[in-house]
Amino acid sequence: MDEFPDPEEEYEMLHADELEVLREMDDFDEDASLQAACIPPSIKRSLKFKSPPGVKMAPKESASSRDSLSELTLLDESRNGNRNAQKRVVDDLFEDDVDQFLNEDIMGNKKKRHKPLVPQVGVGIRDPTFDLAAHEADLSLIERITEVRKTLYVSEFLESAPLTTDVRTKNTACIHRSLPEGAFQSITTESGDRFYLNKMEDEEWDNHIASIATHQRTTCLFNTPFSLLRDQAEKEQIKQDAKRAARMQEAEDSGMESGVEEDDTNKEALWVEKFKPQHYLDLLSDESTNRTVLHWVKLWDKLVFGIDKKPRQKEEKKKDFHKGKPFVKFPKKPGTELLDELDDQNRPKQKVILLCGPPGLGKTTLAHIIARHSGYNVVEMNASDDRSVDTFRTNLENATSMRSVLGPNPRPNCLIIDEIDGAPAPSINLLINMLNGKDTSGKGKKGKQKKDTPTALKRPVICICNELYTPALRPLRQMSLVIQFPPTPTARLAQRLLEISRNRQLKADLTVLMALCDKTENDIRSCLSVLQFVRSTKGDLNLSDIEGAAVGQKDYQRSLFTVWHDMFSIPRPKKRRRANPHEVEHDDGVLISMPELTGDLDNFGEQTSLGFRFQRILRTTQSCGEYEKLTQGWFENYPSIKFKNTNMEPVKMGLDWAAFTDLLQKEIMHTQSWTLMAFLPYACVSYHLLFASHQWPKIQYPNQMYETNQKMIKNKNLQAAMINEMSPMTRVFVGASPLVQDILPYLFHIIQPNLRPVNTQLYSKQEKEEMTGLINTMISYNLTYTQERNLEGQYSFVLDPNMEEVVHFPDIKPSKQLSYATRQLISREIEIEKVRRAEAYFINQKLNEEARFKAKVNVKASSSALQKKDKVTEKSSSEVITPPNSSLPNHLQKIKPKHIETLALEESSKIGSGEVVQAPRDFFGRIINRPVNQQINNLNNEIVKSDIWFRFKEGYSNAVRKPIKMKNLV
Amino acid sequence: MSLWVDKYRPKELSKLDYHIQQAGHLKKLVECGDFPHLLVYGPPGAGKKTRIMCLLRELYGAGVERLRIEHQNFQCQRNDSLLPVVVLTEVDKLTKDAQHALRRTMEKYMATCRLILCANSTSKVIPAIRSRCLGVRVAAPSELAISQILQVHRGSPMNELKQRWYPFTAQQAISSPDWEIFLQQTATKIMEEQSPNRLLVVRERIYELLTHCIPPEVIFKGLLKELVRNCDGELKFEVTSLAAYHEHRLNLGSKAIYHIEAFIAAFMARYKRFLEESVPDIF
Repeated sequence: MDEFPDPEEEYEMLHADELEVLREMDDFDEDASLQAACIPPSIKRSLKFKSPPGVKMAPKESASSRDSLSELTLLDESRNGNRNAQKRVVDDLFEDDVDQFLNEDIMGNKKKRHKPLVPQVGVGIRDPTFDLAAHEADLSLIERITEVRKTLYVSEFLESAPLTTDVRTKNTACIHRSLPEGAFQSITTESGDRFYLNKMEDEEWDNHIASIATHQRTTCLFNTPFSLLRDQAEKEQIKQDAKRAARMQEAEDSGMESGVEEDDTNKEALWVEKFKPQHYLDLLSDESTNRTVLHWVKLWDKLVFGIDKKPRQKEEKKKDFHKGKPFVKFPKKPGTELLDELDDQNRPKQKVILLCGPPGLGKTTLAHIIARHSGYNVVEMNASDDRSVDTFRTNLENATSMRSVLGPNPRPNCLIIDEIDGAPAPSINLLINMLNGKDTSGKGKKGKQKKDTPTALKRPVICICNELYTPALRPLRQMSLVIQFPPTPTARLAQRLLEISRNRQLKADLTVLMALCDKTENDIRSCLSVLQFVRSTKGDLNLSDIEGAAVGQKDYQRSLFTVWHDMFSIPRPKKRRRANPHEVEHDDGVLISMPELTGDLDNFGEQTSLGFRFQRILRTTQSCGEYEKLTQGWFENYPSIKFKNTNMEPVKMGLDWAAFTDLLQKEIMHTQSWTLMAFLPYACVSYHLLFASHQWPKIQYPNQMYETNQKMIKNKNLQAAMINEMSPMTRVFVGASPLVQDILPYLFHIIQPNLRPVNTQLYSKQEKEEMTGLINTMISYNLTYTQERNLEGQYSFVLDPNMEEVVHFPDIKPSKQLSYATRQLISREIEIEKVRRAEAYFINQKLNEEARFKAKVNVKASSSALQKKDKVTEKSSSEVITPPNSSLPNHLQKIKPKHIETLALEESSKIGSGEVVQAPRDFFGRIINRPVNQQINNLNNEIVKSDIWFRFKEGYSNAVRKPIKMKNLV
Repeated sequence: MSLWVDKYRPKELSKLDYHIQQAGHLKKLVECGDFPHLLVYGPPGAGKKTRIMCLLRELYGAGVERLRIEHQNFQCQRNDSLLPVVVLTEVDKLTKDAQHALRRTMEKYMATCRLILCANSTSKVIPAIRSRCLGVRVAAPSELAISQILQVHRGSPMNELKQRWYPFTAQQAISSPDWEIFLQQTATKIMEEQSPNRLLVVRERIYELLTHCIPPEVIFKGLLKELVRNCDGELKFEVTSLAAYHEHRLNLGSKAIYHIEAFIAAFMARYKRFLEESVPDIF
């Protein structure tokens, strides 16, 4: 605000003559000091009032209406009271003044300066009819001023606004009611009032604007001049740019993927994106793989397009598919793996395709191109998406059951699930359920699903993973078409790189590019990134760049198969190019060795030397980390490799190592002492040194141990099942291992007696005894025969629990087997015997309860506590399953002598001798139930009391009607 | 209960057929109604469990033979009547940690209950437990004792086996269990050829044995028995020590197949050397 007085003073100077005139005119003898004090505020006022012109109008009109009023009084009033109005009043006064002479004098001064602005501003304020034009004029004025300012390096627009208003306020005084001096323009308003506006020459006008513009520079509203501010801002801008550049640099250093770009390449996309294949023919990946995938996707055509959009037949579709392809001799079945058949829902047999391979081979690209090629809309899910079960389900359903309706040509979706090996197992299971067409949502989700029909997969799903043998993928692997991506041929990749580098004016020859491919292990992506990186720094690429650069190498985990492969093969020495990407050259000194614990491989001599191999295998093994699996894989694969000599020593040593790792593993797991882990990789080194050969090893995934474990668990379960339900008396003496080793093998001989497959009624006494013995044995060892249907659909009786499986060995001829009929017979007898025992047990219990009840009654009568105790103990002793007759207490016999005797006798005879029920029979073999009958008559009320009883209700029968007990039937 | 094993199992201490003196000691031991913790050990089939049951019968009366299977929690409290007895079988299969836990339990409930432990060998029972128990060794019966027992029961009722092959002859064919035959065949295969390929064949068979719940120790034992039979004196010694070494490691480790195969490979290597050494002697 230091500069604020400047305009005031200026104003004072400008209006000095006016004020003088005022003083003269009004006869005031006011001292100058007062004037000086009162005028500046009025200026301020006017500054503020500038924006709403209406406000200004009001006092003006009121002033004009008061024309007749005495000016002196008015002035007095204004001086005494409202200072604000003073200036306006003064203005009005001398504008309205009839005395033209005086006025002209004042205006003569005024005109010189203020004329130019008057026409526009004055009209704008005074006359609403000219508002629009005035506004335009305003704008043009502003424009002009700003233009001028621009030339003067004052481009801040904000500043121009207060400036123009300032100008305007000054010019309000340039509108005259009387004729002004010089050139003027007369205006008549609606109300008929007439105003005169000053006119001005163009030159003058220009000068004036320029003066305003320059004048404004000095009167800036900021503390610091604008130019200074501007400089500061520029500096700030530069600083920020530098910062951003530094940040980008950092990102590049860490990311390694994005090439360093100079300013000119900044706008350019990553080469990886830019040179991405656009068409099927551009694909770099293996031809047959591409075809297989394409073929599989095409298998969906019938379901997807046949129903949805084009009701064309599958044949037609297929035909033009064959025609359309550049490969005319496309085999019907490209791979042995791919099944051409469709299932009942017209889906391919393998409902999902699983592409796997190390990164940078173009799996994702292939999937995208093929999906687009086949007319699908690609929906991709990858690791960056949320893959919790719910989200996964939603995405899956959305992708497979909906289609985009937007866009000119709506296409069905094709879901590409990238990096599926990182997805959680439940999500994968969900996918599998969907593939199977099972209801994917459990009961809890029923309400959520609109339809009850299971959501079966109706769209192709392409899954992409790096590591095929992720445990979570196991179920998916079994039901999908698994395609292992073969590495891109080096020559082919190098060729493509050459094209690209030519395109980008990068000098590089084929050998260099081949070396690059080798170094990156044929990873297309990293090759391109390296190229772009090199291009951005210099114009050509040579071998030392490739060998020296620490770029393009990835520290990805090695798969088990790679390690096994390395383990069994001796590396071949390579010329020029390096076999191992991890090795780093030292000659030029620029390069840094890999930050690994063992340092540089080259220190260990030639590639075929032992030292080198030792280090190499150690490193590979460490990068894999699954030592247990590695040893297993070695264990299952080593016998299949070719041995130079049949000496057993290496095998012995290798196995010693294996046993050693086993000990270590157990110790590590048991005591959680992970430091021991460091010793594990050395086992793999020794395997390599002992077993590696120049031959190409055929590695199989080790699953034998797993299968064995499964079988063992199954057998153990069988064993446990058998033991758990054995009768306790036998069980006490039988442990798990003696059972399998000592008892069961013989037992199976024992339980196969010579039995004729005839009705048991026809057996001789001896046979019956044998039978009873057999059945007793089997029951006590919890064995029986159950009917089972085998694979051929035949029924057979097998042991349950099937311990034969546990005991029997495949090579050994099984001992004589019982015939179907005999087994059936035995099984039936066992059932009957079990029922019989159970019944005997229940009858006993019932009797005991009865006895107890009676005893209580008796006790009431006798009221002898001692006696009671005796009875209780007796009762407990009578709980024995086979109650001997004599064990019944006397008082019981007294109460129901006959009944108990017969029952007990029957039971004891049955169980004691183990005979099959032999009730007396008549001539026809029917059972004569006389004793039972009698007994039943005695026990009539007993039967009625029982839970179940039968009675003929209607119909006629000449059969003898008599109650029969269950035990007589069995 | 018609297997002879079960049928003719002695039920009282006084009716035991062998180790009669020991039976007398046991009887005296429980006469007063209290006894220290017991650790009964001996080879399988020697009659450890039979003796334990007899002992319990002596303690509690005939009721011990009525067995039920039930799960229940019981509280041990000191009362005047007999102490509850807990019988633990196959103690040697307990892990070291479990045994240490058991040791604590034994101390804590010494006042309220008695333990009878049953094991095949004390070598796998930690010394702490061994020292807390009175060891009762039940040795395998002599052949004479066995034959006497068999003689005694010959007059009893007929059985299927007896019927089929009776009367016994001196060369009576005794069918051995499948696994034994299988193991013998495996040993023969090892003797026949010593090569990695043969090792693969043998491995299959070992896996087969393992899946049929034959413990690896038994496999070791059976193999050694068969292999040693075909070896010379000095070799016998070496092979046995090899087997012992690998069996020891087996017990330290967890994957039986590695150790068994390591033993077989070691044997093969040794045997091969032996053959090569002996070949020049022939010519």
